[in-house]
Amino acid sequence: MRTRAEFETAFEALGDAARRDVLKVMGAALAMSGLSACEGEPDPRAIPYVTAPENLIPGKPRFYATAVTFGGYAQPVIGTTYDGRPTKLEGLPNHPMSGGTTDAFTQGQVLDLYDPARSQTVRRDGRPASWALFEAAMVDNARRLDARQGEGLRLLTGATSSPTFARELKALTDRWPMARWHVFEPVHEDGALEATRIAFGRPLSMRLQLDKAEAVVCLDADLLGPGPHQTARGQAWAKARLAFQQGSGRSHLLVIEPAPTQTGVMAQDRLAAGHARIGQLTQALAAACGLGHATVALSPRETDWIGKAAALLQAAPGKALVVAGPQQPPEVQALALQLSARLGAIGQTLILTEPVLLQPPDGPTSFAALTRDLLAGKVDTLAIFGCNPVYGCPADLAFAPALAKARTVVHAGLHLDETAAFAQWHAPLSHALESWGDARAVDGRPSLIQPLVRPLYDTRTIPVLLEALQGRPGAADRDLVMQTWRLAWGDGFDDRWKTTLPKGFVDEPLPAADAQAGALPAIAVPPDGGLEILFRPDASAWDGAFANNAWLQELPKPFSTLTWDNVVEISPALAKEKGVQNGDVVRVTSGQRAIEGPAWIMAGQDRGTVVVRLGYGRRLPGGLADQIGYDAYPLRLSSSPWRVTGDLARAGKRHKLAPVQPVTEAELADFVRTAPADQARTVKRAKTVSPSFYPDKPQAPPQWGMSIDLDLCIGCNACVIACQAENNVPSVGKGQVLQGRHMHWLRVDQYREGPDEAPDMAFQPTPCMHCEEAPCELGCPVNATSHSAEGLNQQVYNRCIGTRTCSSYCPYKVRRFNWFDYTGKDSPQVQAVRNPDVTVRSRGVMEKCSYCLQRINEARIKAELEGRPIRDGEIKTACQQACPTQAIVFGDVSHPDTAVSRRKIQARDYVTLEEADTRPRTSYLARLKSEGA
Amino acid sequence: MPAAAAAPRKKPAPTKTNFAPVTAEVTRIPLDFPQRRNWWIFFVASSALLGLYVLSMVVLFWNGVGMWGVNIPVNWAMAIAMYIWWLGIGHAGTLISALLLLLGQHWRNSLNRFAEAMTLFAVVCAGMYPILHLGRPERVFWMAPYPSTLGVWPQFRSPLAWDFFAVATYLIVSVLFWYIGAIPDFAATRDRSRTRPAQLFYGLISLGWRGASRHWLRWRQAYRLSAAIAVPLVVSVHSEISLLLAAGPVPGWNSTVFPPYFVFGAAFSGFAVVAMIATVLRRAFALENLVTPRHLDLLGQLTLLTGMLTAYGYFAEVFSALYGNDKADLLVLHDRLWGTYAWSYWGAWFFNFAPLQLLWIKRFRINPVWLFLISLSAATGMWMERFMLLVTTLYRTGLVSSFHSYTPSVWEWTQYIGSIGLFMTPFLLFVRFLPMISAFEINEARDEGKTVDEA
Amino acid sequence: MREPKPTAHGVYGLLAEFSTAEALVEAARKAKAAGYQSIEGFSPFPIDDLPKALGFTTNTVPLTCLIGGLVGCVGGFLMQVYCSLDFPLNIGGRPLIPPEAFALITFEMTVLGAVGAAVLAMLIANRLPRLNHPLFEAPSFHLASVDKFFLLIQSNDPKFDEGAVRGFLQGLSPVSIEVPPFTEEPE
Repeated sequence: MRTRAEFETAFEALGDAARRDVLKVMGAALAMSGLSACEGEPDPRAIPYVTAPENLIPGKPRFYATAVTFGGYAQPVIGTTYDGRPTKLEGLPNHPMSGGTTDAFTQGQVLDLYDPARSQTVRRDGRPASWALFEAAMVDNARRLDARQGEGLRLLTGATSSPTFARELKALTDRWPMARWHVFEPVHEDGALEATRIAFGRPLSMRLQLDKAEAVVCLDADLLGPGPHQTARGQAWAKARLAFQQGSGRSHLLVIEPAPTQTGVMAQDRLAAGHARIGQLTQALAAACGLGHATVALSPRETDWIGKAAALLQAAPGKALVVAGPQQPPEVQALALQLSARLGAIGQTLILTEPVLLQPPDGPTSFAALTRDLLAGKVDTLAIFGCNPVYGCPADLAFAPALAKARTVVHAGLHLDETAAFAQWHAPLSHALESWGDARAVDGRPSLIQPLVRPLYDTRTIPVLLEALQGRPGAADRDLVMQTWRLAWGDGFDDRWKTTLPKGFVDEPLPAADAQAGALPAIAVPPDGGLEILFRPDASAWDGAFANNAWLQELPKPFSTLTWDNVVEISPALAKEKGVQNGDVVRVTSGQRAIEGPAWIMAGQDRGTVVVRLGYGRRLPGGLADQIGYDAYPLRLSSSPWRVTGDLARAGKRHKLAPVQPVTEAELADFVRTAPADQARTVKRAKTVSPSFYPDKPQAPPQWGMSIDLDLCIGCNACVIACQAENNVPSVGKGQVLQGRHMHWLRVDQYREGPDEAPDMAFQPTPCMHCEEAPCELGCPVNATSHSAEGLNQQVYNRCIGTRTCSSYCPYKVRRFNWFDYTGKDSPQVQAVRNPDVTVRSRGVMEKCSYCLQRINEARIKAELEGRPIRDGEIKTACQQACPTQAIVFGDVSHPDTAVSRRKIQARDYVTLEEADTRPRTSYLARLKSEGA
Repeated sequence: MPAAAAAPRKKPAPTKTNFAPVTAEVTRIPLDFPQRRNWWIFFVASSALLGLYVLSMVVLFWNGVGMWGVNIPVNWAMAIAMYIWWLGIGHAGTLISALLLLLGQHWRNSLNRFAEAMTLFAVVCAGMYPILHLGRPERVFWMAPYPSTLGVWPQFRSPLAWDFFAVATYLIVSVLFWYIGAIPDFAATRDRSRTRPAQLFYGLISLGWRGASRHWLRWRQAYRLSAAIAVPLVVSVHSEISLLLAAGPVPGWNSTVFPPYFVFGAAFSGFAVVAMIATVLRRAFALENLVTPRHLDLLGQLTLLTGMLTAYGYFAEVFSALYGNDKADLLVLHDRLWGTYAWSYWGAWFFNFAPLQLLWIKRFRINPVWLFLISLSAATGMWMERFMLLVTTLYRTGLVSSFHSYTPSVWEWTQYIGSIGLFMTPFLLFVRFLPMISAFEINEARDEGKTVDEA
Repeated sequence: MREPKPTAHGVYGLLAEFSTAEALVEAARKAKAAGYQSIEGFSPFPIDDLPKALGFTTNTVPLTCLIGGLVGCVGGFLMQVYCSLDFPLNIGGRPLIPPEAFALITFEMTVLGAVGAAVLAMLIANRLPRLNHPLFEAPSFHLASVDKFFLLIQSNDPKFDEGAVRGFLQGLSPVSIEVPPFTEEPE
């Protein structure tokens, strides 16, 4: 019987292991029991995305439309499950905010489901307890609270948009009027809401319509960078960019930013400026557009930039957009909003709606208020659901000590985290992929969350816990969600539920709110306090929520390509001044507060700016994230969460950092070309095929090839994780990355050229080139790599003996080698996430990008069953499917009328290392100059 | 044994009758085993190294080739460098023995036997590396063409497949050549051995040789033919090794100068090592009268010659890069001269060619100590060259994004140092139990009126 | 050359010892002139004139060497062709049967065939290896590998008559004359 075997394998490891290992192994065992026949069937009440087969066919995947949450927003996805094992998440095609694409975090969430370090048991004072005990305790507590109208009951959650949560919360506050809800979200958007309040009189959510914008100015706003909005905005921006490529409409993107961002890389003119300086420049820009007055003295460069920006903005009435980032002071953002309004953006490129996220009573000061009340002894029962305030709390709020003043602290989370250590009660939460729920996407469309698998462990969702908190144990998460929508939909509920569930979301975006711009805000110039220390979420760990995800940890961060660490990012000028090298540990001080972390010199960063990244320095016993990197929160203030001033000095220590790409300086033209805009529309003159000694290649269709549009690639890394998830690519850990042994089949190369202050930067996704005259094949003495009739460069794992000649001969070095047994010691959970259609590679064999051969074959079989040729676009490689900007296109290059062929005939199509003359099937489209258009 | 006792300490002159002393002097080493102390010192030391080798191998096979410092892009490094180095050393034995035989250079008779033995053991050392560096060494036999269950055959366009055949052939031919060349002396040893086990042992390995004129005729035909064939074989083998690198489209490797360049380098390092061994053996076993200053002189000259040819290869390489003016090639050249591993490039120049110049002066050639040191320097230099050729080429190639440096791990070093034990141990057993100098060929030369060191 | 049967005379032959190569060659010539046919000379090293003196020539070894080489050459090339055709694969767009790429292995196989054949031919033609031989019983024959030269007139020589042969050999003034008996069945 499968389960027994799994229990045994799981327990073999036990020995006299430390406690946390024991827990891990127990988890493993439970996980496997969860995954095996009895419990592992998908929830029968969940309705698959495509119409469900009568009964589960082993080995056949099922797809469910559902969603995962990120920063309180829903990220609509389709989950793939094999025999009740969720293995892959793809974007939800019909959802306007996804369009079938995802970002890296969403791709990574499927691994979080299987995280061996997840909390699996109820705990009281740190010792294992049972749900029965917990619920009993809650019943008693509820009785006490009834007596006092719920006074002293405080509820603390992360940002949320869940209608069900709202309903539950309302029910709770109706019963206990004195109870109060607070929100703790380290990477919040309070500033943006405050800005809209200043500009329009009430807090509103901004929905950028980048697809309609022809002139966009970003003031410290990383529109295309990581975050809950990346997928939606990336898509929209790509739409506009594509239109521009085809000659309809223009595409201008100008950026001022203190530190390099993906948005900055895509900008046609990028200006580095300090955080505070940006406020003044915003004023100047507004003035240049005839809004208010500015008394700022500008440098020639700034004058030029602002002149250009103003001109472009005014030249695009109704199609212009000015955005200041949520980290900027609300006044600055408000000014930007009013400037946009003046340029006719409202309703065109910018739609304002009621807030998508639920707003706590105390608004932005919610968490500060809670801490205050805790210290004042006003809190009797504190329920902390799904957030980790002890880790992420700002330095000026002594939250952890304050907790001692509460009578009862109940914590519910995915992990036994920093906060759990301070709580009497800890309850394990269900992961979104194993629970019923709902949440709103960034545009307010509610997504229904249905489980891909029944809970792996005995866990609960937040609404269920809210019920328990009110003394009503044993509620079912599904019922609570249905109740919400029964109320919302009334009679038609049953049908609507049946139709909505497989679709995954309710197609009702929040309506546009009417908003009248008020008076211009006054922008205060903060006093100069030395260096500006900026807090930014990390591209892998975000605010710490994803810190325990091996895929994300090993994902090279933008620009630095670092893995398994966060760094203090400083400008080259500052580095010279302070005598700091990459990897020197520096001490960053602000007032009495100080942190220490390894420095990284970031070309293109404003001289006086120091960027510290959140999300590291976790204390998570048994987790990957435990004690890696440094914790930046102790430097943060609730009053100014994004910027403090201070100083930086060498601490005299060094820290080994593991960049995937040690060298990023290069002559861009060698790899990433830039072409005049019209080249996207002119057809390449007949390709002069270089002479060859070798016989002509068979060109019988289909002949697979790929085209990557560097004009669209925003370097978001979604493709890398998608590839990793699809192809069972192992994570190898910091030590191996240091030795140059990372395993990514597809990597996003990063290059920069030019002066350190203002380098020209570019991203370049690099998969296997599938050369027609592949040197790797020539080198292999045992025929372990050869060419398929369809032009695929195939790697035959079971024939490979590991001479590594192929890699020595490969000009692109895209081949990866299993130096050790990277897969054998995976925990049972991590094994469960593997794609059954892809071989798991053993020690000593070479591996590389296969153009997702398994997907090609799947499509071929389908086509043959239906007796038709494979349709263009029927096969999407994992990277292509994930890419928010659709920079990657794959298909039949032998047929002139396929998407990929239409791209490859463009004049700007080229291949890298042409001199190697290996005739790659993967080619690139050059970046385009915007000025020309 | 009176004859042995009477063995002269002066070098044997031409003679028509007095052959016994030479034979005695050669065979006394296997039979009477003089200089036990020296031998045991060497033997214990080399066995220790061999132990280290085996240990490193066990660790390697247990954990995987990741125990080394290799990575992507530098996925060939020390192992392949060592492979080329050892094989190169081996070639000198064949050249001395076969080439000089054909040229009728009788002075070779004092050197060829142990030079050939050196070849054998060097080839063994070399041959191990390609196996060690495999990801799945247990599957190395897949390189051989046999009807496998997969139905797949080796890929004969691959330089590695050529390699497999070249080295295998070279090993077999070297063994045969060395063995038939030694049979008459095995017989002599048999006839002079007094203990039963010795008589049995040498009786068996001498195959019942009794020096009949008809035997001699056929023997000589076979021996000379093998020699004639072995010479081009050597050239082909090391040219092929160079193709391992040159056949790939890798800037810095893909060059037509490589085959000759490698062959010269091989002979160079080989002669150097022969010189080292010769100087040590004659000292350790009091063979000064058989391996005379003249032999050292000639070895010195050969080393000098091949050394200068190698130097020419260096020039040619730089020149072709500059003349070809291909960006990629120039980058590689730049990395070699000024990059992270510049030490290996300049080290190769220095150790190979600076001390070598002393060999223009006879005094240094005939002085064993100097010759030994200069040869040692050459061997070191050639090691650096092989290292340089692999690492400086691979660590910065193609896309800038895949640049990555390489540091040999402890286990790579132990594997290398240990391989010296793998070479020395069987070599010492050879000098202990087999006649290490070709007595009958020396006597033949003397009968034709030549002194032991006459050419 | 055929060896004497044990039954013939009870002796294997008569063995005359000389101390120089010239003496042996001279003796061999005389013996030949005297009409003896089953004669053989033994020396510690090859003597160029001796086979001539004994009227013995052969080219078995060179011939087999040539044949072995040819077989290795053709076989080596065909092996590669067969392997490439038996499981044809597109390798980097290279032709399936590229003679240039096959040349090297073909050469190696040629070498292997040639040398192997030569050595094998030498051993077989010399009837080696051989564990024992009657001559080894001759007290001083062990010097044949060191510094003495022997002339053997075998007992299966048509003219063989022990007395006459001994007399003839005495005439060549050898160091000594020995009569190796049959110890065992020769093979």
